[in-house]
Amino acid sequence: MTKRILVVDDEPAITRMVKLNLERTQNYEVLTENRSTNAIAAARQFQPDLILLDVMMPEMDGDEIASQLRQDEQLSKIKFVFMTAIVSKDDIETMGSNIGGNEFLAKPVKTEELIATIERVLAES
Amino acid sequence: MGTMPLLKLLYTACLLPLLLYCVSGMAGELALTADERQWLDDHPVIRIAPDPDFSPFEWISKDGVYHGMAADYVWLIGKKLGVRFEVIHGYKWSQIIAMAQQHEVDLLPAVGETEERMKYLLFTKPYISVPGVLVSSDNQESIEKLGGHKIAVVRDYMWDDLVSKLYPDILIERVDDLKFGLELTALGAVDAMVTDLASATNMIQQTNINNLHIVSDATPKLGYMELSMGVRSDWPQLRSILDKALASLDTAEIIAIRSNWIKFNEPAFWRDSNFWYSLLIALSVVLLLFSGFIIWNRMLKKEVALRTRELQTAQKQLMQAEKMETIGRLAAGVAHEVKNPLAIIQMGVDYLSHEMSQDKDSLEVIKDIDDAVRRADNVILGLLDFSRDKKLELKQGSLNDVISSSLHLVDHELRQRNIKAETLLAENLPAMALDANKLQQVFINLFMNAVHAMDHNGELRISSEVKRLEEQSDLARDSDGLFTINEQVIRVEVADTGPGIREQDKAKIFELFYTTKVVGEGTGLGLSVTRNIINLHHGTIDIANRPQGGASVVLMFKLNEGENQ
Repeated sequence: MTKRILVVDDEPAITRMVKLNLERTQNYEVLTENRSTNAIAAARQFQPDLILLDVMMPEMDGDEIASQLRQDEQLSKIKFVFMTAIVSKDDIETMGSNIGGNEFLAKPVKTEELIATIERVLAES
Repeated sequence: MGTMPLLKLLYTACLLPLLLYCVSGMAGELALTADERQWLDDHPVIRIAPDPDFSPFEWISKDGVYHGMAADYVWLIGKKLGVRFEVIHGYKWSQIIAMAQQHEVDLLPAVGETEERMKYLLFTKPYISVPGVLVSSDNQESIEKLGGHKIAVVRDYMWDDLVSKLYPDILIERVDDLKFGLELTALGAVDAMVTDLASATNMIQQTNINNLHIVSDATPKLGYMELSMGVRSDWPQLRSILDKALASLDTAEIIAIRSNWIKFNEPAFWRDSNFWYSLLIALSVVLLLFSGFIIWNRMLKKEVALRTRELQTAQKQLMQAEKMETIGRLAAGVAHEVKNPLAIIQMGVDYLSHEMSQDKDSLEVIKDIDDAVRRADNVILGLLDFSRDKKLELKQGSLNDVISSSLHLVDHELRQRNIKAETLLAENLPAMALDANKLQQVFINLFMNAVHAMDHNGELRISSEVKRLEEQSDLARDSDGLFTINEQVIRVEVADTGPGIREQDKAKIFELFYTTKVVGEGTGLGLSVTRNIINLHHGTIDIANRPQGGASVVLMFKLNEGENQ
């Protein structure tokens, strides 16, 4: 059964690459969104199992999107994986709990690592 | 005090003119009777015989001129009466007395009234009055105790008469003049000399004898030497005329005469011990002040040098912190701008590696690109890590010391902005494993945040304590859920009187690159780095608004094992 993944990043090339790599496995159905302010509406419509969120975006950052979606009971089962370009892995280790206790990935991330993380998060109850 | 040193008395002798008084008290017109005028017409020349050596009252100078206070009176009265006084001189006082007894002279201008002299002289009312004194070289207390001792008096002076009568058991040494008597006293040939205060001070000053003392108040019986004019006893008219003449002198005339002779009472200032005492004290004070000034100056210089060094150190540290912040900001900017493209390349290569033919060359190209992305990423990570604190150098130390030294470093900033710092640091705070440099960075950061929040005027309050977390409200400030109820912690609070923290900022304040400061003032690295360091110390940091206004940052650290009971 394919899982629905919503990818939100202001960089179109990134969302495209993620979509290509994920869909190539045929395990995922991927929707991409480059405007952070459209992300919530897209999530409501698409009903993803997991949202891959860029942390720093203009207009609305990833944390804000996540906290708004979490308040919506119908969407409360959605899992999140954050991606950020401004921290190192060490940062994630020491500061990982800063933003909602969610999974973080430091850009650039290898596709196999991205998939492994997504699978791990999806597997969490 | 029974006696006082001569020089002290010389100083007080300037009061002497006060003791000289006018005979009648009130000046009046010279109203002579017709008989008296006739008498004066019949006696146009009156022979006077002054004491040749009775300064300052009267004396004859070497050129035969008659001087002194009495002389001034005589010349003034002569002018008023229109008579000529012929000065008889060239005789000793004892000879003059003898001549007066024989009426060979008509008038003795300044002479004390004694019973003996009343036999051949008629006295006017006294017009000069001076106290009698005892002069000695060895601090005699009183003439009363000098029975059997030798006392000098000038022969035939009133003191001769007086001492002989009052103290019959005193051995009297009669001398011809005052100077000789004082010399005998100074040399110890006699035990003391009795004379009047004015003559004594005057002569001591003239002769520079400096080992004599004047007993000021020990001779009440000696009383005052009152000088009158002594008229030959067969000339009662003259006595009456002179009394009238003396009474007619007005105050201005008397003051003029006195002021001529006041000078002799003024001792040279350097002869006054008070002067030397005062000078010594003044010099000591000046020396003390000067030494104090030099010491103070040196202390000030040292202090300035110390402060300058401290300021330089503080500036260096702040500059270093700023530099690190700049590098951090740069690294973050670079990271953001470079890592996104790297992510695109990375995932692009991942995609292509599956889509492309799997020939050896293609796989190598893909691997090379993959490696290049890793390398570029490592450079960025290195740059980011450079500006972060990753590892601690832990040593047992006092958190209070770190707080104090950090506060010291921002002291300049506090004073410039008129912000008062108050510390309430618990004395019993146990030592803990800490990285002093890193924690100093934390406290400087917290203090500077508070300073920026308050801007100007305010109070920064820093407290430390060992606290047992007894209530849920205590735990509420454990933002990381690190501690349990009833656990003892080291708790530090940094409170300010600024505007506090906005509700919407609370959740994100410790996030990396989150800042409420205007562009250019803050980087957003501060509190995230702070939290990182605190966490590395197994501590928590929490920020909240105080009920009374302002923000409060609470740090809590685990107590060492064994100290938590």
